[in-house]
Amino acid sequence: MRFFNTPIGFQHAGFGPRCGMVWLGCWLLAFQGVATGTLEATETVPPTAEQIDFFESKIRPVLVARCLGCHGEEAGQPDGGLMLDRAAGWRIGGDSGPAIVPGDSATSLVMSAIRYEALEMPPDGKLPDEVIADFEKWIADGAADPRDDAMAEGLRHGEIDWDQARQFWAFLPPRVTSPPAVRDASWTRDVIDAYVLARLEAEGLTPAPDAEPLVRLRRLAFDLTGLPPSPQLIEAFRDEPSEANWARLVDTLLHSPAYAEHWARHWLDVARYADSNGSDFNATFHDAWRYRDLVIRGFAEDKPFDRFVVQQIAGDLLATEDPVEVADNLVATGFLMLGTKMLSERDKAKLEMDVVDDMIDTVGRAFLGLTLGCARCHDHKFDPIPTEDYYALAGIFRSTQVLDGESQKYVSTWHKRPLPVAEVQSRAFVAYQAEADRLNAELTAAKKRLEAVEKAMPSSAAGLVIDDSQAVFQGEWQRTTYTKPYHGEGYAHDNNRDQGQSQVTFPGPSTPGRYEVRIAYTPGANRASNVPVTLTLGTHPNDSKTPASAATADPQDVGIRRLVLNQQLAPAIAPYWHSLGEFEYGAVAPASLVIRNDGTDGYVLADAVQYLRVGDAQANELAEDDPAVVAWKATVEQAKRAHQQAQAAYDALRAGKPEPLPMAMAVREAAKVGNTFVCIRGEVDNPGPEVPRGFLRIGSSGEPVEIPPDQSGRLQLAHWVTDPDNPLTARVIVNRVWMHLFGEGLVRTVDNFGVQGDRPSHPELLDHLAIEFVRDGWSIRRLVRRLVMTRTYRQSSRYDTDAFERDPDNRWLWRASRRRLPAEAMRDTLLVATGRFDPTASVAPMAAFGVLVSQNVAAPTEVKVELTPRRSIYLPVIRGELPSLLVTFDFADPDLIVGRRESTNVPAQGLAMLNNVQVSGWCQEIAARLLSEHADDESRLRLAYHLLLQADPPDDQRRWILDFIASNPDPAAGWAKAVQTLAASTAFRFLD
Amino acid sequence: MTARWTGSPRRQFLSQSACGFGMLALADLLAGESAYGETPAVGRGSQSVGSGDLAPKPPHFPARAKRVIFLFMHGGPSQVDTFDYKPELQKRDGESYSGQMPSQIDAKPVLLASPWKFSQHGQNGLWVSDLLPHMAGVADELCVVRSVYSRGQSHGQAVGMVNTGSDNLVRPSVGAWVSYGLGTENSDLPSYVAISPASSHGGPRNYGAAFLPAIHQATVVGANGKLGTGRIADLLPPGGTDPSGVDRGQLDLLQRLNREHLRISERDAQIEGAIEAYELAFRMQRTAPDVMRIEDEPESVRQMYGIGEKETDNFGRQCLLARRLAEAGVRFIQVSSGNVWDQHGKLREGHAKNSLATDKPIAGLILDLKQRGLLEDTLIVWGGEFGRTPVVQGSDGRDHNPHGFTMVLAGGGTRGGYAHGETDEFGYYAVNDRVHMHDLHATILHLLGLDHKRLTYHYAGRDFRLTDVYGDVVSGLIS
Repeated sequence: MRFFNTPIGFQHAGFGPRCGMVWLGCWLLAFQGVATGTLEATETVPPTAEQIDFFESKIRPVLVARCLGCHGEEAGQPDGGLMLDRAAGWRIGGDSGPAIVPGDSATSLVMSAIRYEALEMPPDGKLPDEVIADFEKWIADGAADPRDDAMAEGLRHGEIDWDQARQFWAFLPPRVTSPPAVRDASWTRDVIDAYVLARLEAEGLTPAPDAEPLVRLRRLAFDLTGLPPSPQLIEAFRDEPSEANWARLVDTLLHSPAYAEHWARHWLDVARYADSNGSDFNATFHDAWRYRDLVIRGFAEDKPFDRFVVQQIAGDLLATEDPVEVADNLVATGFLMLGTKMLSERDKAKLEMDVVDDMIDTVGRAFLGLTLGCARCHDHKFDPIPTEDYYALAGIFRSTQVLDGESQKYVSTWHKRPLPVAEVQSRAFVAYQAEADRLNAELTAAKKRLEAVEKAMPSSAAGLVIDDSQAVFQGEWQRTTYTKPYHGEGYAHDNNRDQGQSQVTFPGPSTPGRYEVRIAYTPGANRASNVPVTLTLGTHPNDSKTPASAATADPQDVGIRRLVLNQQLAPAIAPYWHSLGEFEYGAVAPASLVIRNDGTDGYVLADAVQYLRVGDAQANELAEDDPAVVAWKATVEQAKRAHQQAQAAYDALRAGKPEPLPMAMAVREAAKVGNTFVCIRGEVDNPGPEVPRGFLRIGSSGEPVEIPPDQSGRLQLAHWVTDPDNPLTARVIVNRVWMHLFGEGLVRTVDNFGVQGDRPSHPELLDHLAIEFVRDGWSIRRLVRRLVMTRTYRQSSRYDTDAFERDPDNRWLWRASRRRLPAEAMRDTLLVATGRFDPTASVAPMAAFGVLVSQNVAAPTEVKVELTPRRSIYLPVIRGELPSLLVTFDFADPDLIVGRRESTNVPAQGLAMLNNVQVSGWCQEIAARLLSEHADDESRLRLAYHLLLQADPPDDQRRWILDFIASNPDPAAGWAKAVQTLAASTAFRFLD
Repeated sequence: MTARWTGSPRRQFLSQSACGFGMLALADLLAGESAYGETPAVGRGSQSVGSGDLAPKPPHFPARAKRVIFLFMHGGPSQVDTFDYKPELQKRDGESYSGQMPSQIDAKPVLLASPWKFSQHGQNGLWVSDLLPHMAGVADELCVVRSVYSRGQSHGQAVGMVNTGSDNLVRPSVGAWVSYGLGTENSDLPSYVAISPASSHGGPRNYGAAFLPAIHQATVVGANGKLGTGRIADLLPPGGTDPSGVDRGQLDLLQRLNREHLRISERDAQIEGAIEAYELAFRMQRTAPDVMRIEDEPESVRQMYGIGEKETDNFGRQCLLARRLAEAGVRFIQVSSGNVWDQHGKLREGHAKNSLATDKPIAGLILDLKQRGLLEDTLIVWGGEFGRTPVVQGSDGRDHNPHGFTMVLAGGGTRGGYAHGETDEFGYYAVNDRVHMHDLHATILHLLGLDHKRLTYHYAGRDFRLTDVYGDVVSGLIS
């Protein structure tokens, strides 16, 4: 494949069916057989007077009355892009192509629309048949239309002139230039400085002097690591700011873990990294952190950037046997999947194309600095990216599987792939998982039983309650939980069988006295209406005061009451109690309640019995030695033991848990690989012609790559993006690195290198850097090193009236640009200053979250992971619940691709620094540290300045602050406020 | 990325403006004045110079409304049970529905009549069901749009549509567009406040700025339909409820350090901007707590909103806060009911409860604005992300329906006592004078004096609009 080495223009024929402008539709081309000059072609034969007359009398009035409201000038943006108020309007057509093909009414879209075949036009009512016939005649006769064509050019969707389009700077290959001559050669340290100085000299400007050593040190440390230099380093470098020390410092910082973390975060901004989906269904990305770590590792190892790009687009397709590489390659493709998705979209075809769009847009902006998303609905208005190029890429990404099934009805979920592990580990894990599932089920059952048994406690308020689980059963009883409500764990029934054979005996109260007796059951039509219930009261018969209708005294047997219960009737006392009445219990014999099924006419139920002391609520509290209590306690103890045993078994197993089988968010080739069709106006249900898979025509001048029919084309795309001759990829990344070190890119629109983007301020320098970067093996670390070693980087940010008048935006780099500290650096610096900073990486930070991020907490606002003192990059990025402090200071919105963060200056930031609970807390900790580490105020203040501003306190500031502290009655509070004031100050928030 | 709408860069703003804030700050320094100067008057129209991005900007053409209160009925209230009276539906309860049903829907093709009675109200006999007796009482102020349709069969998409004009992509919210287009009348307060917004269905995205400058995102009070403490986060020191808790000495020290930084740097727009932002923050600290203190309202006013009554207290407070913010010059105020209107089942119970909670406060808000002369230039928008099906889900529920539903406007130049458009005989699909959500957005902007086609922001290589490439102003809604 070659890029731009061939000066000849783009050949349509080379692209087969991807001829010219799918957007305008192939109808036109098919009809006229020419690719260009369509307007001229139709104007070669002037219309006759009769034809004009026909138009004026039959057609124009209809257009005016029925069409121009929506398809005319006054409509502004005409519907469907179609203008009918001039001939050129229908010739060029709208989104669906030319509306009228002169001479061919059959293929003219206008005809099918007014016939209500495809579109239904006009929408407010079909035209009369004779009018439709007039249109047919008019078109068949050549569609004479004398109206003015003056606006035609402006309307024209325009054939792209590829030769001309390729002359745009960003699409030309980077050019080698020799370093320019400069007057003050002594200033330069690197060729880069020569390019910068030459430009300054040409503009009549002079570079700023080198910044003070501590200003430089602070700038360097934050730029390379996102962390402040330590107080020791500050002292050391201030005392000896030599060249050798500067170089040593640079190399030390570049090889620190903090460098990799800080620069990885820059990339995560571009990759729209997040640990959850956000949007309508905030699903947890449990495995996204692997991508985060991969990026950090990539910067730590200085992975060649081209390799890094290929991995992210097509890692899954790279051939390698090494399991570590296989894992990295899979994890890297998470890049394609991290975008926020409307997972609950019910129209899955639309969702799929939205996901494809996210991938195209991300690849375009992240790697190429092109806004490809524009071409989804129409040819790019400014850049040479026709819609069909978009759908050529869409074919590649549609052949890539991202979504995979549903996590619940209508809600899509995404593809996960197991990472390679040793077979032993995999087997061990499978075995472990099976055993864990079994023990967990047992544990759950034991826990449930314990809870139920505990609930059956004979409580004081409920008197003495005896569940069927404490009753003695004789005969065949069926235990069940079929119908709620019931007491305890369930109830029993006699299966409506063996009448006269089955009985249940509930113990009665052991303490004599008067009780209300209640019985629990769930009613139903199939229940027995005549259940014999026998109470043994242990008293003499003449004690009874039970209602005569419900009980008959048996003179033969003292203290026996026989009652009949109708279990078809609903119990009167919620939730399931039926009162049998009040009875006097004695001590003559053990009390009991027996339910039998003698002669019963339906199902007999036994659930629970309740005894309530009458007139003495307190007495309902039962004695410890009451048999019911004793029995209940024994049951509880038994359930507790069972639960403990199950818990112990489960815990023991988990203690020896093998490493879980790691999964990654990763793509794969889709089951069905193939081309896709243009979606007219970006609408999935409005398909246009199919487009073969391919890349951007503007990127390459050579023959298009053949994508094998059984492959998506991602691998080929990855190689196309990273081809050393691709004019964009190296320029885009080099420019971003420049921006991170100098505040602005050489191209200020770092994510847009298109026509609407900025032009490079130093084009030769940008090309020089891009060429050297590729030659040097795409090494980011060496690029960063080279840039920070320049004289340009070292400049002071001092003001100069004359230079400012000429170049207020500092385009020519006459000084260093003052920059805001990134949000993370502010937080991390305060944490470092407290002494509690935790630099360790978080492993699987989302493990505790459910399918939805809100599932492990009562309310989403309780997701307060930012409270940990971890380095900010290791905080989970939960969409919709981003750490508020970081957001206030322009943390990159993971819903967007952010090459360059906003740098806002809003009141909320000041309020956060002064009033945020976290910031206040940290400042108190810092103050406490100052007070404990030093006894005198001077030393304390010095340490405070070193920790927060990485500078020595100037005399007057020292006085102001110490005066302020002295004015506070409480020194600790005074110091805390002083620290917070420093943290809120512009000297902290900005890098000079 | 540059804003086309915003005029000159801040730097120029400061140098051109005779009383640019950076200059004021420097003047303060020279005069040795405190960061806390005179207390400015609380109320609307305080014309102190603010941050360039939020400075008031003239509309494209004379505006009918100066501000918007959007009463977001999250979850989707049913049109056929509130404002869209369908005698045919009432007649044919339980009969099978043979019309078209969208796919991906769980309702059955069986008609469910509204359990509520409809009657006519006001001079023009506007139909309102007895679910909303108080809103019926202000029928002559209501402009009922019965033919709204939108995109999104699920909440996520439809909530995105009503709040941002996009059902799938991340776009600025309506309030952010309005803030960007018009700035704010009171530089002591944010231009856009979201009261009790939901954290679900996109959460912050629905009141966010997306790619517009961050200053246009809403300042949030409360969450998920509950007002909570009713305070702006971090406005005052931890635990503080009153500006008197602010340590002026500390603020003086801070600005002194900042000005020293500026002095050493000689001239720097960022440091100047930060100093200015601090001054604005201090003004907000003084102004906002008073504006937000709804306890200060007389009992008679509180009663209008149902404050103090169990059912209406929460939403009443939100509406009253909205009025106070509107009065103080906040440009766009969104009040969210919380995601409560989603009655797939228990329609009778759920809609009755939600109506009870919101009806009186809303009517109170309208009457209160009217009695203060504010209704004429305050646009009220009432509605959910979609309506509900006239066919039944389960036995007592209705499914989502973005195909035809009702939104209600009031004040701000809208035509009162008027019902616009029609749905079909059962209230399923909008059929006559259909109003797409984009059209409604275009109309809202129009009432504010903004041409929705000219209110653009250049980002990622192209100009973006609230209405994408769609939207027509519905002139019938305008009085």
